[in-house]
Amino acid sequence: MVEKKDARFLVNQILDKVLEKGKISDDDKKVVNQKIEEEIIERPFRVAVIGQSGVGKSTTLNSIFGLTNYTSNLAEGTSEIIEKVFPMRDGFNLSLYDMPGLNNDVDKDAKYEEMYKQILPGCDVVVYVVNSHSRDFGEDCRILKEVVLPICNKNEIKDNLILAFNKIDTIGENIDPNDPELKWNIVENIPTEKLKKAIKTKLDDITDKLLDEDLIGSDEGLKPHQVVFYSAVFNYNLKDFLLAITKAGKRGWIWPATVGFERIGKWSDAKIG
Amino acid sequence: MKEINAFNVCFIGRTGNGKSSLINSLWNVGFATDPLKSCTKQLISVTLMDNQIPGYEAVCVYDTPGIGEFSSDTIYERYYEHAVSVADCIVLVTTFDRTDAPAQRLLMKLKQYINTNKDVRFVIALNHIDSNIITDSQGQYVPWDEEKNAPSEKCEENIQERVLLLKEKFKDRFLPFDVIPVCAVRNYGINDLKTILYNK
Repeated sequence: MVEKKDARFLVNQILDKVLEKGKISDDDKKVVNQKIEEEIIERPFRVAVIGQSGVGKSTTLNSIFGLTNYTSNLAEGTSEIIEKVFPMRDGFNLSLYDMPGLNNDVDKDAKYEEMYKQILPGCDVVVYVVNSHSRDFGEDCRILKEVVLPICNKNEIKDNLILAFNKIDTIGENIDPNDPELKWNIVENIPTEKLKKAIKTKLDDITDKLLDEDLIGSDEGLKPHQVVFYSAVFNYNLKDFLLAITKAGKRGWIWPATVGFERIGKWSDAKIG
Repeated sequence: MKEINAFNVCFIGRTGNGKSSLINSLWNVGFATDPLKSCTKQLISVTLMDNQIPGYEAVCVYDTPGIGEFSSDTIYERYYEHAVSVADCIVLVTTFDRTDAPAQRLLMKLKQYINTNKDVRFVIALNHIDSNIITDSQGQYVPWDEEKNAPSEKCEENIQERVLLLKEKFKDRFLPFDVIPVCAVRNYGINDLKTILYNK
């Protein structure tokens, strides 16, 4: 496919065909084109990434959202969140809200919650990152149920939410840091057989907890595709993540065009089973 | 039968911050610990005859389940309420990890159960100070001076910074307190902590 430096090439050809079928005037055609321009070019794809500190929000932004060397420079006690716009391919833009994590301090939490209320409703995708081997996942459940989901439900953007379990590569190291069989196979970029089993056990454990907390498996909870397990540093299982973004909300479909598929070849998606 | 007149010490803290290992290094009681999963799922207490505390013949140690394992700690709430209401001394175990809001919330909730007839003490133990997870701008960080079995200079800076932060975050939320840096596995600061607990 010939790539043009014009984002509309993706839809123009399809659109031309559709417009040919209906008897649409040139003026109406112009309006349709304008609307499309507004929808996919002028409005950047807006992403908010949230999660407790140390869960790997920055590495997630680098690997999933195609940013390079993004590091958060959010000062502690930040009171203003700035929208950062990154030009992507073909004229598309990615807009990022780097959100402060909750749970550092009760006073700050109250302030940040207000920020979440202002910013999350305007986002196309809201990613809540969890450390897969964190022991206080209960706190994440609490934040989701008491803060994030109420905002999403009130603004009818629950479909925009992705619950992202990062760092599945380090599950083994936490069981036994000295067992080479529990280390990631860096050469093939896949988990070893033993590690695969450990990851599977851990994921089942997390799934049970999500069911217990009604975060999945109920009308109030998330749909299965909204929960993804991955490793940002090893680019592992990013396919599910990409799919989740594409399915997210009303504008997820713009996502693949924004970031491109070129990176998929570098991803590892060996199945855990 | 006559009751043992015990000094009750209650340990509270986020899951994984090393409450049980700290108790083990203080009194060698062999509570179960695991680097991966939470072991303390009940209120565990042990009574040890100990004549070091003026006015008491024993110390009774309460180990509570870690904060944060469940979205609502209701299952554990009664354990916390009981432990705090009988306590002569309450120890919050924390680390360099600044995720302090769960502990703040819990202590604010438990404040009403403190026995006001006693002069109940509150201590924050800053554990795992040898953790090398904190890195400076160069990504290099040697936290421990093995020769002296003490924190390195840089680690000492981190400790001071964290102590100031804790003082700010827990001020007026529960009880007045001291912060004691400790490292349970290296047996560092354990005696200092014990002295403060026993108020010798």
